[in-house]
Amino acid sequence: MSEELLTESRQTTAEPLVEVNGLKTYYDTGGMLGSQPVKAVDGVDFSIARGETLGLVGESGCGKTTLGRTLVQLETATDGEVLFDGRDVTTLSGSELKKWRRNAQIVFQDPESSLNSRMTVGEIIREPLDVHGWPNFTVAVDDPQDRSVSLSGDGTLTDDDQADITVAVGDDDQTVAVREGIPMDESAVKVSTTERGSSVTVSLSVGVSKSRLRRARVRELLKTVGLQEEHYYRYPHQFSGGQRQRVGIARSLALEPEFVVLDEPVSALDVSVQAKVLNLLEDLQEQFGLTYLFIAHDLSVVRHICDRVAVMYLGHIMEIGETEELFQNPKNPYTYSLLSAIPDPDPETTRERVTLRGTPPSPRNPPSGCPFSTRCPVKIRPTEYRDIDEQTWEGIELLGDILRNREQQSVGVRERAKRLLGLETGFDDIVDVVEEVFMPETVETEQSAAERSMADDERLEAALSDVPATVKTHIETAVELIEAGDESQAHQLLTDEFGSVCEHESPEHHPVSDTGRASYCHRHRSEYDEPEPVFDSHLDHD
Amino acid sequence: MSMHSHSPASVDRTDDALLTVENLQTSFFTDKETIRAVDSISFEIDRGETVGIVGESGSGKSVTARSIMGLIDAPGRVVGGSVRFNDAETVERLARQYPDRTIDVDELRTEHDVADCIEQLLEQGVSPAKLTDGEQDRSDVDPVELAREDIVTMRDLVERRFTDELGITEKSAFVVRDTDGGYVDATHASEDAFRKLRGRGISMIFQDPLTSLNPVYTVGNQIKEAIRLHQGLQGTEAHEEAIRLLEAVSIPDAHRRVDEYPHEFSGGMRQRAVIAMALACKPELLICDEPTTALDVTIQAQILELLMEIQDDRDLAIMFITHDMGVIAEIADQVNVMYAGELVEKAPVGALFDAPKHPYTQGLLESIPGRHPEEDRLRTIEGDVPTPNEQPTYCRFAPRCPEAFDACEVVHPENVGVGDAEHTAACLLYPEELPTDEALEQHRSLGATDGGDQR
Amino acid sequence: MSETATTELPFRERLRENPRPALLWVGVLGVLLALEIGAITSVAVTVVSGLAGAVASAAAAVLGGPVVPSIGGAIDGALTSAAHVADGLPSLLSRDVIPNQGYQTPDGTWHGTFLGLEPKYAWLLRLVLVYAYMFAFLWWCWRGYRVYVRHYRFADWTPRDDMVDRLRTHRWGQFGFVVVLLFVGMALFAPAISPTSADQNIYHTSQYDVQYYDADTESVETIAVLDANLDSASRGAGTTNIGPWQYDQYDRFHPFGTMSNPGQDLFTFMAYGARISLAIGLIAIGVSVVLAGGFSMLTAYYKGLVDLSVVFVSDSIQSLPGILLLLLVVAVFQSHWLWEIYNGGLLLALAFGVVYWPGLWRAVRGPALQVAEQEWVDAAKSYGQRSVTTMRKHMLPYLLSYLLIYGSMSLGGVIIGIAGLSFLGLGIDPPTPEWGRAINTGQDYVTTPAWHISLIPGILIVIVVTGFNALGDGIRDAMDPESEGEDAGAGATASGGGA
Repeated sequence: MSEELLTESRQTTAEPLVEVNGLKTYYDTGGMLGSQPVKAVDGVDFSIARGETLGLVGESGCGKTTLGRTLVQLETATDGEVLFDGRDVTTLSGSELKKWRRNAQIVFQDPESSLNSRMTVGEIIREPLDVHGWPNFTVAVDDPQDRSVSLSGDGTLTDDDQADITVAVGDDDQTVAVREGIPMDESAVKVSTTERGSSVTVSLSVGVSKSRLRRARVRELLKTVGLQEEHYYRYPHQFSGGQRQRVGIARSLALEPEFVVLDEPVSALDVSVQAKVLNLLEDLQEQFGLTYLFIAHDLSVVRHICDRVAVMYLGHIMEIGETEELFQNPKNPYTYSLLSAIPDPDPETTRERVTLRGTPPSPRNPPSGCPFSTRCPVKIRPTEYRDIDEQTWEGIELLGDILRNREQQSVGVRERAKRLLGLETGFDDIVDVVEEVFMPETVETEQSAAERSMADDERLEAALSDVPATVKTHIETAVELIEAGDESQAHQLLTDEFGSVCEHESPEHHPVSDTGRASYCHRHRSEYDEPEPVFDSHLDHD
Repeated sequence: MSMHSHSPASVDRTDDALLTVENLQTSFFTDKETIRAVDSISFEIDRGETVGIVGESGSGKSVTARSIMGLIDAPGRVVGGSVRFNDAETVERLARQYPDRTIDVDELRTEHDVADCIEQLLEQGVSPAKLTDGEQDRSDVDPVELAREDIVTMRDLVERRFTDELGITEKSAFVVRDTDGGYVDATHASEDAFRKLRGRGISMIFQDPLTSLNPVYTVGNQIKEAIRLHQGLQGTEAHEEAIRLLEAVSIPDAHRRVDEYPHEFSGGMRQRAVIAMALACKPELLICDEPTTALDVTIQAQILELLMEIQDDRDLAIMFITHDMGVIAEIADQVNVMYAGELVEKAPVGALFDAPKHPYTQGLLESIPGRHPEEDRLRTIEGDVPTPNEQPTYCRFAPRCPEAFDACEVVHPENVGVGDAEHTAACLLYPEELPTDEALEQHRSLGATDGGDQR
Repeated sequence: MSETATTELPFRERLRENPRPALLWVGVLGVLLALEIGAITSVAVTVVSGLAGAVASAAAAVLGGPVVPSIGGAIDGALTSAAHVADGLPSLLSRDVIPNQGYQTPDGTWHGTFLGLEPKYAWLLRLVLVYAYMFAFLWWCWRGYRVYVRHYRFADWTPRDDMVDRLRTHRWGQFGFVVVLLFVGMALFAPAISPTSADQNIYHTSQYDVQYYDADTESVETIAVLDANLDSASRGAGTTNIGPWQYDQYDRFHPFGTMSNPGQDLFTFMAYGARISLAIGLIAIGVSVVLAGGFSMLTAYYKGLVDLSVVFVSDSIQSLPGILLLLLVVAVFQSHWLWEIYNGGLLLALAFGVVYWPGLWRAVRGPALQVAEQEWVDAAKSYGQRSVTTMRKHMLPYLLSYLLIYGSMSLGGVIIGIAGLSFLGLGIDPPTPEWGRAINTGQDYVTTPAWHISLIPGILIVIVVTGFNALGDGIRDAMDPESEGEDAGAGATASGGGA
């Protein structure tokens, strides 16, 4: 199928296969009473069209894997719904759930750990078939006279047009058709009918044992993923990483699913092997009309294989839209920074790079407001501080970060004892910090002896000498609070004074293009500047 | 936040490289087979330069680093070649500590005549080609002439360990002093000498920072330990130095963080702490073994930036191992491409990405998604990386090579210049300007001299 | 489709098509069995009567009333007659066929022994023949498996073939296998391999006589075994010490020497004791392995509350002194029908199992948690595998090795532990032979010439524990497809070094 055709078929069958609404997955990590749950997925909405590949990217800990696992019901959703073909699967259980699982499969990241090394490759791929009693021999009976039909012998009657065996009842004989996915010849099925008035009984016997069909199916799958039939009896450790990943893919395809979650399927592979596996995945999608959720942290891979991309950060989808468009013209500040961080395998590009400060906050204690507000380079500033210089602003941000971090670190017993005994006061500590954040150049070089001999308040004065008076008073108040041992109050003060809508309100998904791209950022609101020009002006500054 | 643009600076290559690796060969011996994980590779690293080593898993890039550091464990062993670390201070320090195992080239020059030595060696059956490093392969070379023309000098004889064969130096000697600057021969160093070389002189950073940090000690304690060992500082001084180092690797709130345990650090912070530890030893050469592979891109960008800053500040030489072509493009000045234990291409970073010569390098670059956005399918390299378990009398890449021809099965390609002097590739297609027959002949003769009987 | 059209015949059909190899094998098996028919039936009768006794007493406990005794009586009667029949059946390798008890006249000839051999050699001959028979029998069973694989199995290869191949090249595991077989043989064939029978030498010593040549009276005299034993007991001091590989004054040969009081033959004691000690030890270990393995998988798979409760229970058990717990169990159940089975051996074994599992569980908990984290367990969940099957297929194979190794190491502790209980008047009552008691009684003589009383049982326990350990090692490696020769592993390290 050519690219053109693919797009076309996608458009004609644009009904969503998977629809996710307000999905939340929290972990209670077994802590004792009153511990905060980890908010791995914190309210996401999106849908995946039939036959489409949706990419899910983000840094480690952003919740992308948890989201993928929740979609195949390996994790239990805390809230929200996952509609699969219009049916909410988060509420399924027992045999319903088991039956549904045939439709949605997952390929894992680590080919070492996803295959049981004590089983042969054949046994591994065959296991899902055994679990579901494959093939179930669903039988559809096609009777031109529309009589009531009953079935005896092997198989169960179904109205589904996807039946394994279709029997067309004629006047004196019957024709049998076996679905393509089942490696069995029509001649293996013996059918006879008995008519009794307005009803007809079809008796059917299959001359091939199920276990033989399963073995044949496994051999077929091995060929499908580019391995050889004789690999049936090999063990996983006799294969290379790429081949092992192929086995994992074969296993996930065994039950003929419609939807496959690919959880970083090529991250553990070398680049040349990765290319082969990616090609295979594309071939399979075309061959079986699969719908993919492709989870990855490698953006170049995502750009190659995905139709649409969702960028996740701290349990939220920051931006979602058509791949090429999003890569070429990212709207969300996080997407912008993430794309700019990818090392380009072309040393000639002299691209402007945005290096983000720090690490993502813990999903146990996500920041209030926008999840990206603690690292955002283009955070909205309160009106009265719009004009202060970059260095001071960065100092304020850093100080806020440090206080935030300290709040989350429990203070050790030793530390507490030290403070009680007066061996270490919060004061000399905080002066160092203030020096560090407001005069980074001085700290990195050796501190002069003169400086070391200075009293703390003099040092504080010196550190803040370049800081505008409006800011200075607040910093000094904060320092006083820290001195008094009240770090959280100091943090609160800084947030109140220097915080903005980014810290105070959760953003919304704003549509940012006519192809339905959405971005989760306050800057798309009419009263603020769009992120892009702000980035540009920052980069010019540098 | 910092924003900057980076374009690699071209570094002037000088003769006295900080680290010279020559025909390094490391094998792993098992009952079944001998795996030649590193098979006779040579390269140099200059001060202030970043040399990248790229290759897929199993190409031997980590083994190269570990061989240089003397960290090869049984059943592996460095079986040949030399690793010469050329730092005056380190040479002096080790020469003081190991006077019995030091060779003074100046002394040798006064005591022995080079021409006599050459004659003796020729009598012992050393081939002229091997002796002259391929410059002359006639059988009737004149020792006096070789000595007079400086084709073979005393330094050469020492470097290639011929003096051991003559019995004028000890086999166990590994420190070489010379007026032109001595060196430490890492492949001959003893375990405790290695310990003195490691850290001070050469430091190494590994992929997983957690395995380099002991979980039961605070980060500060571990950095202080390194400071105490290598700088001799104690108590408050060491503590302050530790804080300064943490600040130098951009860990915020270092005063507080210094007393925290590794598990309280995030992945990127841990890698920073490991770098701080490495810096505590004031190394001249930093070997980074996939230091950013386990990190996210935004953190990777931070670490790469940090490494470049540190390099500028301290004129550090960096050997950077990775499988990620993007990272190499970003950080390296000079790139070595490894395949199945061999160095297949060596080039300045710009030349490598602009005009890769070796078919393997070409294939590797082609298979990166996004190189050909107009194509629907990714380009791939057929087949798998072979295990280098026998002496190569053929090209190891030939079975997968789209451009292989008959000779690839029988002639082992050697590194030959391709275009630019800095750019070499081990492929029979080169030198391009020569007709195939002559090119093959060149590879054959190079193969014969290039430590032919070591193999 | 690559499979041929030949339908898969059921096993019986394949047998009918080509019966020759099977018939040949069964024929030889029959001959082998016939040789020892008496011994085999008597072992079978012993086991069945033990079970029947248990069932009868259990029934009595449950049903009560007068009906039960009559049924019990009927069963007893049947069993007694069966035992008589068994005694009547011939066994080739028995004491009757190859006797080793006799006396030596001054001219040096032996009377009453097999072919007039010295008792030492007569006994050795019987011992060697018994073991030879046992190994031949096992080898024939193994051949039976090969015959099945070659002629009757449908698949030309199964993973078990690889397992067998790996075990066949595993020398340490084979050593363990042989050691374990030697001890199992010792227990099974105790009547045939000991120099004298338990009935004669241990239980009813006053009812049997021995003949010996008295040099003073220059005639063959007769003495009750009871008195003979008393005279030949090893007491450490003075003249009365019969060490290993010695004859006593009544011309009886003692391969391991004699015991202190009342001077039984130590080899006989050990051989019969193996029946009790090994059985209790293995059952106890089996029980704790099953409990520990089961709980570890449950806790690793479900975590959370299940984990917490098992931690609580196991900690409670471990916080009590083991011996106290055992005392408690024995005291409570002493009048229960469970106590009837195997002289209380089964109850003891169960009690030991309960005391030992928490330690074992602690040891395998870590590995269990680790394997539960593997993605293949998630994969099984993702296609809806049942949790019990997931645990059995995807977790148990990895835990079994730990269980086998730790379990075999606890075996020695259990055997000694039983002796400790006997010391307190619980456990296995004297005179029933049991290894731990031999060690206990010999303790006072360790520094005397009668050191053998304690030392030999001690060494045997060490050997049997080592044997089981080695066998466990072998089985572990056999089950792991990656252990095919160490070089494969080293190769992986080398080539993986470049990653």
